[in-house]
Amino acid sequence: MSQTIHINLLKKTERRSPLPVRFRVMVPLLSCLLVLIVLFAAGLLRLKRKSLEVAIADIILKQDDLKNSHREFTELKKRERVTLMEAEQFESYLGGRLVYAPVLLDLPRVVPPTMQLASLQITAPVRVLLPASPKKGALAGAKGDKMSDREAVGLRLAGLVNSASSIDALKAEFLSETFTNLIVGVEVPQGSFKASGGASAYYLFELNAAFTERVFK
Amino acid sequence: MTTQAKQEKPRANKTLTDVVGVEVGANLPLGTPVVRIRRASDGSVELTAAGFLSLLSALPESVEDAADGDGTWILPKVYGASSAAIAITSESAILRQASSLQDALSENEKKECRAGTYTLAGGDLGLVAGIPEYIGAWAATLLPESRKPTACSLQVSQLAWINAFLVSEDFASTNGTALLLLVDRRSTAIIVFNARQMILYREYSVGSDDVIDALGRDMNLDQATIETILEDDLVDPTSAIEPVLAPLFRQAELSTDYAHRKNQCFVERFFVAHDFPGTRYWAQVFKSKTGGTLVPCNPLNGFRVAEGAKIPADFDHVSQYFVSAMGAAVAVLEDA
Repeated sequence: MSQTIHINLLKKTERRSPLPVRFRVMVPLLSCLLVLIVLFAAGLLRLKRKSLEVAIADIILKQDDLKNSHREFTELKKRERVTLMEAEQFESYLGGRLVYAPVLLDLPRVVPPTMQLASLQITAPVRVLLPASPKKGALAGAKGDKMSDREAVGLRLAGLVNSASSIDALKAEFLSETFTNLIVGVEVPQGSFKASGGASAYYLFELNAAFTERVFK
Repeated sequence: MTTQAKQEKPRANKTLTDVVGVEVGANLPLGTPVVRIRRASDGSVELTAAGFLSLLSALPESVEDAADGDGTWILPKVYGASSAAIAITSESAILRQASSLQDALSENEKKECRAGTYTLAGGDLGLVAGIPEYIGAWAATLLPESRKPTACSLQVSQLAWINAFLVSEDFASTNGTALLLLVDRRSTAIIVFNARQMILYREYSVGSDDVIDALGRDMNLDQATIETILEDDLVDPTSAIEPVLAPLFRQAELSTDYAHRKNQCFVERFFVAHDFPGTRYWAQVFKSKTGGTLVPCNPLNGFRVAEGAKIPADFDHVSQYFVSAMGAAVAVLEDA
């Protein structure tokens, strides 16, 4: 193949593009558009930042309000807890209360006519001290010992009676169904049944009734 | 003056496979010759369209005239290749063989022309082509931007014609050594090829119109009658033509001698470009003066035409008018 001779007299600056999109026009236009987009985006970001700042300030304000509310709520909660504890205690007291009325009401019925009561005493409640290490022979009251949550009271009757059978009848009545949930044990202390002296045919007696233990929490 | 060196290949041409060629300044009554050439898948080039378009392609005569032609051409879709090569036919166009651009151009030409050079293979001399700056600027803006095609190359039409000859079947039939007479109205270029490359280019101020003028003086006839005489056998005008052509053919002889001395090549094939009136008398005189056979040459004869190509019905008769346009397009394709 022969080599053709191409001497091109067209200047580089005279070359035109056949493409429908004119780069000479499009490049500045696109550049302007790009700048506008960047400016628009910057404006948007600025606006967004502004609104965020407002929102943050709002949140800080709300946070202060919420802090106050929270403090009030905590206060109320504390008070509620205290109140609940008090209520619980009251309920506990109610639960631990010994109802003596039925005993006292039933006493005239169960006390035999041959018995004359000189005294009727409700003994003070006693709590047992529980040793921390229950060793044989260890004395209660050592360091670390705890008080038992159980306590019980007792009923002590003293007076005159015509015979031991009247005391037995009363003991039987105390251990009957009427006092089942109240009295767990009845005893006549040793030596307490004795003659009253003189010409009287009555005897002095004492009778202790042990009440059911109550639990205090 | 501006110059474009051969080495400055336009990047856009790297992938060119389809080029439109246009010849401006030919002022043909049929219209502006336009061709579309593409490189086929087998690597050869083929013609896909050709036609005469009604485009204003007359060259501007001044800088002021040149200012009017900005992007006025809209080519039909069949010529919708991305690039176009424009061949400029102008009396002011320059095509010379010289050692340098400085030597080739006069001071005035250096000021007013844009020019480019090409280093011919194996020679000290290069080829210089140039056109007036205002014509170049005008031609560059004929095809508007953002529409196909746009100008990718401006070439001098003589060189475009030579390029068309270089890819022609006539030249392919030679052993690579040949002489071509490129006849213009007032000048004739003698071009010698060796090893399929141009080695010599000389221009002499004897053209086809000089022959007609000589006959007119000798026979006292008008131009139309002379052209008729040159086409038929009624009168033998050889005696009137010979004195005009003898010096030219002597120069052709000297050129072949020069080529033989310089390149040790023996020129035995002679071609004359264009089938103009009186070609056969040119051949007769050439035969008598040099002993060689001068053969009219049309590079588009035998040029591959693509299947379904849009070409005029009488393409064989008018194909010679498309040679410069085809040569310009082929040069771009070959350079891509």
